[in-house]
Amino acid sequence: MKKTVNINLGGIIFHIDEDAFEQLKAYLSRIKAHYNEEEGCEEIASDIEARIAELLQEKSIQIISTSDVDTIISTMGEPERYEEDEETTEEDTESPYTNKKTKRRIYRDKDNEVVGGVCSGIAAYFDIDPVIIRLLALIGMFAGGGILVYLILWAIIPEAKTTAQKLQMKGEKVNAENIKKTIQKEFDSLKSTVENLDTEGQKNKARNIFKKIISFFLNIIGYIFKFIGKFIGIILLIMGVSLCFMIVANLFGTSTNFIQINGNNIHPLNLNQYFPLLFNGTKLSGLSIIGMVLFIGIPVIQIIWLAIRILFSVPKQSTTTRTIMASFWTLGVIILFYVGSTTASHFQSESYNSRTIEIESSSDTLNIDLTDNDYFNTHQRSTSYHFDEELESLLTTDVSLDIKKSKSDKFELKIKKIADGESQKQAKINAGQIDYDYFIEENNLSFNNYFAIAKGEAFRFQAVELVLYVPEGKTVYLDNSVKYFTSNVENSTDTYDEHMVNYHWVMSKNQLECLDCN
Amino acid sequence: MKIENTKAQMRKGVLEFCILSILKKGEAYPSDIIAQLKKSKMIVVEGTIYPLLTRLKNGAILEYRWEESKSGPPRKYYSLSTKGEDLLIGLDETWNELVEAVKLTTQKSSI
Repeated sequence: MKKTVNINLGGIIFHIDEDAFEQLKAYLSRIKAHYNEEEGCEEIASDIEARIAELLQEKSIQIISTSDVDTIISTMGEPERYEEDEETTEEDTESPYTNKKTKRRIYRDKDNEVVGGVCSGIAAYFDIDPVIIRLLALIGMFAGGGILVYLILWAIIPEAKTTAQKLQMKGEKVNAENIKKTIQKEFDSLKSTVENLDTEGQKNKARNIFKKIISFFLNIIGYIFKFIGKFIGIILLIMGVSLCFMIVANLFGTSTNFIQINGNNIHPLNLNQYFPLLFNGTKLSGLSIIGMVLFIGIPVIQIIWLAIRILFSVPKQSTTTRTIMASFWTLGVIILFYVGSTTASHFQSESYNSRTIEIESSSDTLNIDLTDNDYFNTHQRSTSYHFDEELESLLTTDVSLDIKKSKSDKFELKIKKIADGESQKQAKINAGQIDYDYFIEENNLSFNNYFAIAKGEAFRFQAVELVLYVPEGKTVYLDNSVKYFTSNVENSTDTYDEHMVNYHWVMSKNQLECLDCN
Repeated sequence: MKIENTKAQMRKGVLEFCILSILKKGEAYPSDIIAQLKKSKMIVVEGTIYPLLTRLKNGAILEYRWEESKSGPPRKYYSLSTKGEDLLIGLDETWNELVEAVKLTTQKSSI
């Protein structure tokens, strides 16, 4: 049992199988689509429809089946075959009754190629000298991302192989003027249908008028959307291309300019400079670059692809290409996950390395201050980082000073270096590599407010905790520079660290007491 | 590529010439024209004829009138316009010249 539908072909009612109906409908719309650009498209389609009605009627069958439709189609032929019988070419466009011109599409121009024909293809599309495009491409390549963009375009834009494609490459321009023309044509066809209403004398034409008016407005809306689409396409293209440049600059370039943040000289790092700081060894940092390129690059390629499709009516990506893209992206995710989890494991244990030294001092009072340095200022407590090209090491301000009572009668300084690592042992080794400096000069103890995590070493939350042990009865003077350097120093008046500076503090029985506070 | 074009051009010109010649004998509707062209093997698929007729009509070479049919959809009866008749006279001459010219050149080349 099969469902049948009633159709009206050229004014005659037919019973037709549902499948056959779909097939016939598809065939008629193929014809319409083929002559879409041509004056009299509607007329051609309705003439062919009438002929099909006639052929079907001659057969006088009860219900039209798919095999009947097959016969009809092979008799009438596919619209492409008509062209074989009477092809319209560029030479005969002057002839009064052919005004068919192909829509312009972008192709790679293999006939004028230097590398892949991308530039000459683009030039043909925009009708300009390929030299200009090549020059732009060359500039783009020196700027960084150009090669990537070129390769993407090479992959996306199909090569002009057949004559038809070569003609399309230089076909009618897609611009506002031509869109206007198309709309005009649409309007004319609507008008002629209205005018023919009386002459054609077909009763059901009135209903078709409404259909025509609706389709006219739908078409106009379609053109407007096409225009907006082009605009979106341009934005997407700009976005994609600049992302390309960013990726290349970030992953493979180097930056040399300093920027000022909070009064510190910050050297903005590119990702490829960060990676050695995060990963032990080149294997992980290399892998992470591959992972990043895949993870960010694939979506960027897709954005550019989409933009090109919108702008130049390039065919859709094949399922194979999409599958390949998706699997490369997944590979990127897996690589990043592997790199991430391996690196995270390098942070799982914490250990330290500590030593205590005696400070020889002739006086009973010890001045404490910070050294001046080019990297960090002294008026902030938060931790800053700075990568120094000369030292080839990351510098950090994760240093703090506490002051406690000494068990002996000498000043003592405990330096505790802390770091993470994949094991206790490794963490201890990492901590040992911290390069921290302080200076003792007569009664003066000067600290660096930063340390280097050592050349070529990775960042593993290294920190330095200093404890100055002051014997009972002896005094320390805190210089203004250590305002944000000391951390939770106990004292009899519970004064905050910031407010302890510029005063003398003497070690009483168990804590510091201010000598000259008011 | 040029060869394909030439062939297509030749066939196209001749097809138009044939249609005009058929209509010279009197008005006809597309199915008549198709039947005659098929008999002489000028066309392979029937669809070819419709865009061509429409173009000739839009070029004011042909004109048509509607006629109701007892057995099917209304028919478009095509006939030559005055412009079409003039064109056909010109084409006739050109055709005869061409036939002569082709005969002469092909004979010469075969000697």
